[in-house]
Amino acid sequence: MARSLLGRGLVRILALVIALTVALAVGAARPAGADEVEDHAAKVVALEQRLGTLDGERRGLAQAYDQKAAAVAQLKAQPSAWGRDRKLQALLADSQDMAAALDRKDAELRGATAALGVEKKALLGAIDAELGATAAPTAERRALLESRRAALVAKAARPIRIPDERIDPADDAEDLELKAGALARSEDALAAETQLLERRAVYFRRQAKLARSRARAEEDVFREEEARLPGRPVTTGRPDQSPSVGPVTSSPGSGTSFDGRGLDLAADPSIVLADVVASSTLDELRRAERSGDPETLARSAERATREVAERADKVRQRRLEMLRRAQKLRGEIP
Amino acid sequence: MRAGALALFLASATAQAADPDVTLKIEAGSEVDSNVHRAPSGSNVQSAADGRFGVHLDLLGKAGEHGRYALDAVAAGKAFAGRDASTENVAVTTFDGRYDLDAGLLVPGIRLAYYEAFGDVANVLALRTGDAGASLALHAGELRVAPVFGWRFFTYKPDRAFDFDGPHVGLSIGQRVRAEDASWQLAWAAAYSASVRRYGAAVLANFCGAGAPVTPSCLSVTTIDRTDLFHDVAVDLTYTGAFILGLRLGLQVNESNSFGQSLVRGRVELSGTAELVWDIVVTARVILQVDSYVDGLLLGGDVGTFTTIEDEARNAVILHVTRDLSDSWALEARLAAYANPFAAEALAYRRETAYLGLVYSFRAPR
Repeated sequence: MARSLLGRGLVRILALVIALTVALAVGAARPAGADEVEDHAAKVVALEQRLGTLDGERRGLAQAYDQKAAAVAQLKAQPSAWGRDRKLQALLADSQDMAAALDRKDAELRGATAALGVEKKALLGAIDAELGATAAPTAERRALLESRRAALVAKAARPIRIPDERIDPADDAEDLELKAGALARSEDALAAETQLLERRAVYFRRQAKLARSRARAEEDVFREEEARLPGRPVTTGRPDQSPSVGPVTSSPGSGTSFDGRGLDLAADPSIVLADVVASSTLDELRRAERSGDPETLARSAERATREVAERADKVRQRRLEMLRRAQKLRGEIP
Repeated sequence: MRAGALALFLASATAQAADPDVTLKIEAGSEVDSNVHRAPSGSNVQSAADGRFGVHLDLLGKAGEHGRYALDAVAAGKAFAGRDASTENVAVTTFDGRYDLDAGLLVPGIRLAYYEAFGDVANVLALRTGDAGASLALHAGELRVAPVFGWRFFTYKPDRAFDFDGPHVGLSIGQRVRAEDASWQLAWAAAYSASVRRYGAAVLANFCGAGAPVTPSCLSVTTIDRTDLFHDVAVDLTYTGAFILGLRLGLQVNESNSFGQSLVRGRVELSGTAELVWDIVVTARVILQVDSYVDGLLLGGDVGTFTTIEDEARNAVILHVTRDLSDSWALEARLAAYANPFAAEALAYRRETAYLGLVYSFRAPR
């Protein structure tokens, strides 16, 4: 009797679980991320249009102001007279009003630009969420999202471009020195990026260490934290949380402060390094960003750091080679 | 039979997979326990030191284009110094394997888990349990919904009257929110499960008069088999950034047709992990647990029901400290204090433990 009652109870629970799942599945059938991307994209378009309008208005105001300023200058060049002074005063008053209007327009432009920046950031987040969703978008949709993403981040994070590294036989000493100067600037950019990547790696390596230590603290192989009473729950009731933090690796004991503020929030390394590191490294950086797993993020940053440092070294060697050749062409060295 | 087939399938899937992440951990240490038998205050409270050794093997990998698997195996043991505490010596072996097929929106998966503890005939830790289950997770962006069903058995070696088996169903929902640069993330998860537990033992019936005190003389063992319906609800919230904070809430309800076995248990766990000086990482956990026995609690323990003192409203404060010594070696220490301040005075209970050990880790990356 009791068993039958309990059995019916379980059947009711099972039915409830199935109903809930079906309801959630129906709700999720239309990817929520797609709506979010389109919403943010529409807002970005609206803000860009507003920015265009404001910019046009500002240009009109600036043009009118320039005309007034020219007229003022013309009048000032004339000999002083009652009529000329009266006109000049009127023009100066108009000019002051226009300057104030220009200031107001500039403030509007700054506000709209800031709002556009926020909205673009949100759009980027929505695109990444949809791209990273396990319910993968169709190939067509993925291509669209990736092109939108590329267009967005191209403005936010500028890729490091390595200039011409070739030593052409026709290059004279001046050409080579110019090329070496451009390479020196790339070296600086690569060195700065290496430092940034090192900071990222240290941050996520330490975050991984925390997660690993915490997981260790929760291990209870002898079940000492659980009730010993048989027939009572032998569970700590922990909801399944995946993905878990990856396996153990070492952590560098760097003195860098463990503070997320040290990270460059805007610069996506997979964009900045597009022309610098191997495509497989770029893929790993992108995958790590999507996974959110500190161990994976640290590993990808470490790999990119190594590659960027190697690239910087090659650029440096080529620059020195160019300078040596330039000196040779000038007859400064044999 | 079914478990064997599943194990064969998992092994086959693993064999076909290339280059899994393999992590091997070997640990050894010693713990001093102030109340090794978990006895009530004022009774047979004995302290003892033990030696521990354990080997953990984790494999994570892909099987085919869409398959993912995770295997976790542990062998561990602890032995106490002195004859008085030797009944608490125990050896443990566990296996946990899962396989998920990433089929887009839906991710079906299977799981097989086994745990066995070997010890003295009177060792209350000596048990065997296994679980075979399947899930069908639904992923919508960062949201994950997973109904689960399966079957579980439990064997309690010191007293087979507490063996049970039965089906279980559940639903878990989880979501992760994170910063654009992944510098922090917030994860929440909620889970509900219900399981039927069919015991081989008979139901204990209460024939005591209404309002009369419940005594063993008016309780009787019937011919009906005991069956429980066990509900488990848990909510988990974790922030991971420059430090980690966690909150876990749990409610467990056991509905039993046997007198004295129905239970409502509430549990709150707060935890925090941060790095202190000299690369030392500390995790502090505070656990508050309150049990309520629906039928009242029999302390006599001579009519087919019993309880252990540590099951009562047990609360704990645990400090876990780790320090990496090198790429492979880590030192760890754990201090724990258990007590039951919310229970009746007759059940006063205290236990403190201090552990110090070394962990060696080897990782073969993909």
